[in-house]
Amino acid sequence: MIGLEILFQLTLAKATPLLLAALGGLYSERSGVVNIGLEGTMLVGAFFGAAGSIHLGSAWLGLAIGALSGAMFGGIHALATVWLRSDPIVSGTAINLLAIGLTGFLLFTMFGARGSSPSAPKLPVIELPVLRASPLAYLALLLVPITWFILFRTKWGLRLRAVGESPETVRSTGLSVIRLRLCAVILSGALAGLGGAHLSLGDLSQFVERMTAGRGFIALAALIFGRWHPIGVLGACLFFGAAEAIADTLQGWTAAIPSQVFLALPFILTMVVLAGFAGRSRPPAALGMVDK
Amino acid sequence: MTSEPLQDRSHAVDPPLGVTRVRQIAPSVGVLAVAFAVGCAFVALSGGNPFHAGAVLLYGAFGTSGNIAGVIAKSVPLILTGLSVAVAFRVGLFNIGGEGQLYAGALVSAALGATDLGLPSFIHLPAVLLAALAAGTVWGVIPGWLKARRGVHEVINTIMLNYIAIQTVDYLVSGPLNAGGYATRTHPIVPAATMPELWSVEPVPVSWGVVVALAACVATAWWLFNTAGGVEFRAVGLNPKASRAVGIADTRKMILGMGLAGGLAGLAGGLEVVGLHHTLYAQFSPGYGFDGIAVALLAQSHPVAIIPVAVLFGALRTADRWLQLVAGVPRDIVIIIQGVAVLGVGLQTALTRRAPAPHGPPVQPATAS
Repeated sequence: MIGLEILFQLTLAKATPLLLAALGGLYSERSGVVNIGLEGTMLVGAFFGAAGSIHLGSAWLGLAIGALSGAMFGGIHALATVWLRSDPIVSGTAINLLAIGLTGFLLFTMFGARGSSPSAPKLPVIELPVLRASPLAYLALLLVPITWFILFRTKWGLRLRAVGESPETVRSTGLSVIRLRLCAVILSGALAGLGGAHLSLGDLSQFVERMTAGRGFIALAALIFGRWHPIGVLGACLFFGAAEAIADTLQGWTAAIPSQVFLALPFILTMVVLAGFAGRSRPPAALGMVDK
Repeated sequence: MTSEPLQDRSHAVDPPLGVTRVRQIAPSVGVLAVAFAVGCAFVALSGGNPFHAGAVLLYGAFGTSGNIAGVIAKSVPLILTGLSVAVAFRVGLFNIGGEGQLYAGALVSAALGATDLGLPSFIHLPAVLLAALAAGTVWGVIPGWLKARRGVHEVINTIMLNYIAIQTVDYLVSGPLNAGGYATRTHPIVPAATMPELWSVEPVPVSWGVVVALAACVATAWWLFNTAGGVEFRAVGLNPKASRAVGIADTRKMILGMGLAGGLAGLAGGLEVVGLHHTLYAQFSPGYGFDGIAVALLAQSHPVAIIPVAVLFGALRTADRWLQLVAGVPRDIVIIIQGVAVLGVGLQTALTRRAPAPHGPPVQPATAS
């Protein structure tokens, strides 16, 4: 079953950036802040990951820079929506535009290049008896139980979930709604940045303009499809990753089913689930509300 | 998403009565000024001269009749997608699905416009455009219906539908509808379904599509402000609860709003096919549906104000290649300007919002659930 093994490895590789970004989105949305800026934040992480790796000569340092840049973009979204109370959809739209503009601008000014960056030192591949994947894949998988533990077994996680359900209650206990949400959104940016860095340092070894190609939105879909729960998100990301892996494998073949079917499948399924035609998916109660 | 409250969409509504026009447009002009100042900073950062870059942009947009025609060609889809987003804002909904609706409209017109049906142009062409409108409407009604009847947030569904439409077009253009040869495009549009030229200028003539787009703005403005239906429509956007209390079928208005929004974006896609490209390419849109969000926000969702904002963005998107070729600064600065403008509108709206009652109840969703 060599074919299946390769398909599984490809699935994990495709699922990794989705999982990192979706877990990031989980923190943000569980705290009540919609984050459609995941797409742009991933793109920024992909660029700075590659740029850091090239300039510092180490993919690991590049990874750190990618996460940091994602956190900074998360910070912009957090400041705009949580502190200044801007509409989160408008702010997310702006984040996505700024990311495209800024990465294109920096690609040209830093490397004199259009389209793609020079090649960057790549992350190593770690081989286990059953798995063969980039270190970020293991990190993403580890983050699933960690996130579950943080959200459901720690005091901070309880507060975070509470602020997403009923900010008034949290405020009445004397805790800062703003501080909790700022932390959550910045953390979501860092994780999305890591997810983006996987594209430029784990998947490829260079940055390509607009290389996220909608993965931030797929991560958002996975977050909803996984019902805002870490285990559900893991399942959704593996499933969506498998769809992309199959589409990739089919590309260039005259298959009975066109590859685009698999690329569109995550979006169709998410709509079906959201509409309640196949089990209900309920968001945090205060999600998207501009805090009073 | 059953219990999701409506967003504060105060950027989508009119300022109070008695406010002068100047005070109405001042915030948007201010935001644009900041965005252009940031753009100048980025020009300077990349070693360029902001004044030179500005002059190059002006020339690239309006310096020759060919450049002006290019600006018009880019403005037509931006007017219609901007109008699409604005109409949805007016009923309190956020249409991020303009891109998918545009693709739906383009796909249907490419399919119906490529075969000579033996029909005269005055039947075939309007039929193709109506089909584009209908396809966009369907693509808008789906999230509208899901929002109104099942309480699912329209933002998520419109994002999903964008990708579904783009993948569908990608498949059909490279597969069943492919014209053959190397380019992934459909068969050319037959003369009977082609939009006639309004201004024949080199290299790309301007079609009558621009008149259609302008007429759509005027008609939408008239409907919104001068008909009972339009007033009710806006009332739902301003206060869905109160509207329901006075007997307005708010959920029906939402479905209507998303249908109209989808139809306008679908029409934009149809005009791209029959008025500009005369075929359908895979991924023919550089993101007009998303740019429509920026246009609508800066125009404060006013159907007539959409026109100058769309022309401004059309000019930026036409002239940006000159920025790189002549001024030697990256064209991406134009996207940064757009991003700062959108961020600015969001912040400006938030900062000027009336302070809500400290313990006032959140606005409840206007959904049937």
